[in-house]
Amino acid sequence: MPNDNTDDSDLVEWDDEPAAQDDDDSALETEVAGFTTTTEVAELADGTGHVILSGPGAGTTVAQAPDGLTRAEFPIRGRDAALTSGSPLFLVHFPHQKRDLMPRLLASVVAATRGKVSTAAAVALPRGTDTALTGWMDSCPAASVRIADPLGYMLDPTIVRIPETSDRALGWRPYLGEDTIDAAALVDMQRQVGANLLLSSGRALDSAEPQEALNGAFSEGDDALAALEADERLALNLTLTASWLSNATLRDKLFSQLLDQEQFDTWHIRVQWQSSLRSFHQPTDIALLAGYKRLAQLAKDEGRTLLLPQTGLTGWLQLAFGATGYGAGLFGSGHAFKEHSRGGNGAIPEVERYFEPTLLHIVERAVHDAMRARPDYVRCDCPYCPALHARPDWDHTLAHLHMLHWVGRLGGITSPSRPIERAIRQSVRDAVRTADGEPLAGVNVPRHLPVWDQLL
Amino acid sequence: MGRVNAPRFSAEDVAVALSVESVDFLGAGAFGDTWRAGDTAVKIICVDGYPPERVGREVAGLLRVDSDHVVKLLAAESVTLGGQIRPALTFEYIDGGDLEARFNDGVVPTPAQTRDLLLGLLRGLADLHAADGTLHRDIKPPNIALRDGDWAQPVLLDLGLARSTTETTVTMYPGRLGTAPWMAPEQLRAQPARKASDLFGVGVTVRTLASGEHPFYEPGADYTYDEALAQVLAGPKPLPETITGSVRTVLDLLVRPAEFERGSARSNLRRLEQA
Repeated sequence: MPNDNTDDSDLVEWDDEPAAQDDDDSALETEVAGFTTTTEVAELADGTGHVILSGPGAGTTVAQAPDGLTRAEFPIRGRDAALTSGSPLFLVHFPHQKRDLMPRLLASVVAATRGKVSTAAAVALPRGTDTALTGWMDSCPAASVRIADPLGYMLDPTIVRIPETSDRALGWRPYLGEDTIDAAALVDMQRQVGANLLLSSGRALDSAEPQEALNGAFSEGDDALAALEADERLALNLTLTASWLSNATLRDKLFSQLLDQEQFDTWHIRVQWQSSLRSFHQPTDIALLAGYKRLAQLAKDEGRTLLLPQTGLTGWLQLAFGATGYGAGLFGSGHAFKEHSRGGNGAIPEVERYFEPTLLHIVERAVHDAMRARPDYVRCDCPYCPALHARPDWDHTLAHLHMLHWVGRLGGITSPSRPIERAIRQSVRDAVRTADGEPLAGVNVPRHLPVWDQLL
Repeated sequence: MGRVNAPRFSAEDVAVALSVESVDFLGAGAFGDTWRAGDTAVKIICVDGYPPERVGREVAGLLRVDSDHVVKLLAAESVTLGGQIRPALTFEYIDGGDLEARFNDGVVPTPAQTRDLLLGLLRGLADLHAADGTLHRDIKPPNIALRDGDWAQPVLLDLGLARSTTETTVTMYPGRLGTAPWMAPEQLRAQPARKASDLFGVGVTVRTLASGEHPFYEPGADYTYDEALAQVLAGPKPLPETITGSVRTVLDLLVRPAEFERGSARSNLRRLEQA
């Protein structure tokens, strides 16, 4: 019987307070490392060292590659190459817990895709102290891009549906309590925590006053541009309600402004999805998805870099149309920027679920077990599944890591004869066929696939 | 009415004002007359009270542009004419005639010349827009000259000085092309012109030359702005079948009602150059 309950990934989606590190994290890391035998390193683009991609210590750096390690045929790209090479950029969002498990995750995506996917470590300024955020980004050397998002939309609760800003976040980031934001000061805060791609504030655009909202956001972006120093890069950071992509009038205004303001070569655009969307599921609103597609096409046509934070597989789909970056995280909030809904008492146990790469969907464990029991089932070779399946009890963290690894890894399914649009189209059509052959029901049905197929 | 056919001042008075032996009248716009003086073209603002800051802004814009397809500003001075001090802008003189004259003479470029014209205009626009977002705002056949009469060397003239129009209707006057017929939908709605508005002007201009008729309006017909907008939204007349491939694609994109669908000058150049 399909379980229609949400899970605790939903309940923590708006948590802005990093939990203390779990003592189990290091044990889990050791356990995962114990199942990996190959040790491979990739050179950092600036030549200052190597990142261990697999095996013990994966995700950390060594100054000199020790003897006996395999040297990867690709380097860890630098920021500019990651943003402009035309290869996908996978943004991994700072998790509120289990963050020590992320460096290996980032390295695993680079390794599994043979460097075809670059990664970004993305923190949010209101989610931690400078020390915590800097420490985490420093611990992710496989990340070519480092982002510290100001989350300016937290000043706009009448536009986007968000929870009340906590006193702790206000203490860390007093600008969240002010009416206006000093663009230069905000840029400087991002510098302080070590970001190498700076963002404008990300205030939410009011669809009731569309042109005024656009003018304000772009003007603020200009102020941020003016605050840049040599060799710094800025992405125009916009936060939108879904209507900006699904409503033709709003979409035209937004896209026309994006086209006209050529000074912004990188767009970091976050769109809020409805609260009823299940954790780790994909939106199926065709108008919204068509808006995303047109946005990605515009970016491609105009040679701009489009980054779509908190979009998970829906963001991955947009790579087919011209997006460069898509974001996900260990928990549900990393995969979707959803409207905050009141309710949820925190007592609902998390459902045991597993991301099936061949379905491009997360299914309940019973479904996964049935599929895995068949002789033709292709077992996952990610770094986390050996440990996950060796345990007598289901480990949600390992299951989440497996999914996050795959969401990133799917960006690298290209080949010289199969560019990204064709590769994604083929992948979706294969998934449609797989789903048609499985006795799926309820939440296990990948309802997004027919809509995606239509768009492709 | 956007253009006058006769100069506001005599050639003798203008020559004296410019301290040259003689001048030849080149044309008149809504705000000023343009005279040839040797190998330069001098535009004298004739409308009393023309905002000096507008001249200054446009001069600043022109000085930022370095393009073979945008007329070069040589000097920005003032002259005393008709008892008043008036701004006078001295440009290089483009010997080769403008597109309005060719259209009125019934000259239709070949498909290859159409491609050359389109490429040149988009290059000029790309250079212009790259100069701190400078806009032209009034792209139309009389504001485009062909250097040495070469379709591959179009030059944008009269930048931005005529950013508004006194025309109250959109009319295709025989032999005289005003400003309104070249306006983009957003301009017809009285919204500010943007880069996409310049792209629309290029699209309408090249389509007009290539097909020998305006893509949206009938000769001699008189449209209110709302009627003109409806004409534009209904779509252009088809291009001649001889216009094919990427040129056809770009010319169709450039006259799309939605600004973003027209693309930038650079992306349209890529479409043409990669084909």
